[in-house]
Amino acid sequence: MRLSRVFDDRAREAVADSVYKRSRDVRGGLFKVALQAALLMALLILGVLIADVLSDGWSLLSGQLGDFLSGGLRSRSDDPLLGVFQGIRGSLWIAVFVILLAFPLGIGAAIYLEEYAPKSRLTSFIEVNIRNLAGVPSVVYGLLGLAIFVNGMGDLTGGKSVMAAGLTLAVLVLPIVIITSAEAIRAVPTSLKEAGYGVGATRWEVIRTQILPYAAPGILTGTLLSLSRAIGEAAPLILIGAVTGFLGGQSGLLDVAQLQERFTAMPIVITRWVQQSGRDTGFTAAAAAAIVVMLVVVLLLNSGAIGLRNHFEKKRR
Amino acid sequence: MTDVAVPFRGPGSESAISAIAKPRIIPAILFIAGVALLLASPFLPWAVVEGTGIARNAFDADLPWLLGGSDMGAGEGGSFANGWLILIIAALCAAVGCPLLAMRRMAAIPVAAIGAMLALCVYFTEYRFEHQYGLVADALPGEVSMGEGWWVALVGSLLLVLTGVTARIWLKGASSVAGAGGPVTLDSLSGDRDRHDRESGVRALVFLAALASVLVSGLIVWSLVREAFVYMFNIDWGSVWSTGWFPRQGFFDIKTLIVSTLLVNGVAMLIATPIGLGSAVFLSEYAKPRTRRILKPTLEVLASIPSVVLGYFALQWISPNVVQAIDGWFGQDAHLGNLAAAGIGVGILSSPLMASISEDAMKAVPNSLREASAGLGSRKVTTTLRVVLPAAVSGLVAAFIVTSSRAVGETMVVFIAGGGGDTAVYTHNIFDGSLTMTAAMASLASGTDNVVGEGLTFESLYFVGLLLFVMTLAMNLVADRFVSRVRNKY
Repeated sequence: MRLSRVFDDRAREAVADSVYKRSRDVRGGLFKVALQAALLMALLILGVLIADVLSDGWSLLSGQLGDFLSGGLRSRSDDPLLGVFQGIRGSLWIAVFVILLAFPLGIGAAIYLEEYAPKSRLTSFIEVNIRNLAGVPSVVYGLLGLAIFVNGMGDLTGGKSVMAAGLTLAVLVLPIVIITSAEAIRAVPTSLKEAGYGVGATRWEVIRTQILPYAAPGILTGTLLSLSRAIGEAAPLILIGAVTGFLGGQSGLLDVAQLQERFTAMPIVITRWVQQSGRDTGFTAAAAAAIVVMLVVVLLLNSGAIGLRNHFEKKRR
Repeated sequence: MTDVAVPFRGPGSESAISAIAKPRIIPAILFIAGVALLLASPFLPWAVVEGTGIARNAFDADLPWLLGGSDMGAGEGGSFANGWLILIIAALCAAVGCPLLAMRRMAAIPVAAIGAMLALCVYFTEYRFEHQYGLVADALPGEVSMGEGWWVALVGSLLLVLTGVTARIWLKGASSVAGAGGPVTLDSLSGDRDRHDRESGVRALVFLAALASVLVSGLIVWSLVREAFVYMFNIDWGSVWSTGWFPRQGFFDIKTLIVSTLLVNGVAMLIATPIGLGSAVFLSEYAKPRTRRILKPTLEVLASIPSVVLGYFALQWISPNVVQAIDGWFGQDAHLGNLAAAGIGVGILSSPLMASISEDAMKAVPNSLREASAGLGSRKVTTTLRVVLPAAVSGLVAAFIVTSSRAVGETMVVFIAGGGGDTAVYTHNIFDGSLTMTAAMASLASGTDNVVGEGLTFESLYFVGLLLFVMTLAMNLVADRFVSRVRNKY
């Protein structure tokens, strides 16, 4: 009896203390600050990176943007004909291959895995296989491209050509397209599908009229992200043999015949110029300006994708 | 099929029957004409040199400007739309299209598709023709123009497209008539054949698309193993464990590459783990929804920055401002390109990945655990550290493994900022420049126009590639295990 009263008093005191006295949670505060610092660090790095690139490349971008966009690879940085046109052309064609090959194949595979695939060994093997493909380093895809598309299919692709590069990068982003599209398709409510089957639609009719329209924003997000990945990827192109020195033959932007010719691409141009900046410091500015040109495209694609996703996520909720 | 007793014969049924019985004359004529034109076209003159009477059909490959030939001077056959290709496709079209049309099935789609592809191919030769002709114009005695063969092939393939379209319209009409009150047969009870065919066709197509990914894996393994085996069976293994990586001189010291790969990976994980994990904990446990909505996309922007850009940043900013500022503390004098700068760059590059996977892992922890902890009176920091993180530990381990596998495979940052040239001497000092496995591959491939050199240089590329592939694959498989453990738990 007495014991319990003492205990009660103590307990009451402790509770009162914790309610009325404001004790500082020092450990918790420090922890939160540390977390915020980590995040801030990431944002700070992003800011410094963009500021650094802009300030390095500003002289070229502000003065002679038109010349820079229409010029080519040169051996000296003060050459007025120095520019990124050939890089843009190569990257554009690579993007065309990715859109024409990786998108339909990837979305098709995602449809199969989510809607048609039976629960079988083969299906789970395909799924594991796709996840592992997504983790294969990009240089290894370069080796694949070199062995298959450059040497194996040289008659069709013309060897170290933009076609071989486009095929390689299409293969590279294929697992990303499949995974993101499959996620978007998985998010379609079952009730929607069942309603479709209920009125007698075939599986494909349900996919075409219900699932694909509903999953379209998610699929589009994934495809845009993978496109920006393909545009920024350099390692496989180096392995395939993108031109880093002089590239002759000024074919136009949309000339189909160049598909079988030697090529270069934006990330390759940047790599080349950064390496040359050791000998000729003027290339630093050129590389930075090229980075700005590429970042504008990549970031536009990405923020478009992210914005699209957030917009639809909000709308559906 | 036996006729079922017809329950009703509406007023329109007579015309419906005659519509079904009507011969499929228009698509058939178009189809036969198209195939005939295609079969004839390669034998007609494709290119004509005006004023000289020189003409070549699509089987001739002796003129370099004629319809391809992958090299200018070479007299080998063309790659696109040369005679044999056209003949084969036309024969294929006839073999596939005739029975399809006869069976009134979905003839439209394959026929139209083949026609469209052919038309594109033929049209493409015109581009090649003009392009290559422009290069050798001086060497020819007169103006060159496309001959009848080209036009015939183009018209033939367009006819095939038209066959597809008209057959489609006709079939559509027939099936709708059958639904409108014709005699009811078992056929019509079994449903619309078009829908069945479309269903199985689509199923087969998407299955093939899914199989394509398996094919890609197979091709990767095959191409890696084939060349790597050549290397492994022919190499003097003494040169694989020597003083440095000098592939063109025949010294392939693999430990140089592996040690510098591990060093770069170590530095990268030192950067990526605190940044990534910290951001993830903050975003998943502390951030208010509104803050999250702003911060998460920003982190995703960081994730989307191409690795060449990080390479430039590592070389031009991190190296002079960070690494060369602190190298004195360790009694070192770093060059502009060094493994530490490359490691920091790789770390920055992979921290968003770390953040996103660990955030997913923490999101997977059920809220009931957090609520139970809060209900017992623990503070947020206690809940986070004692409840959420232990519950998510498998996912966090997976995040760590996946991130380091990505860091091992990262090429461009190390290639640009790692300070290795074509060759590297063994080092275990992060302030030296060296080559990682990936950077060694890139520099081997970019140093000269082709990968050439002493003996097994080209094959060594695949050997290192195979090693890298096996390493990352093993890491990913282990990470997959951890992830599925989380999934099974909650």
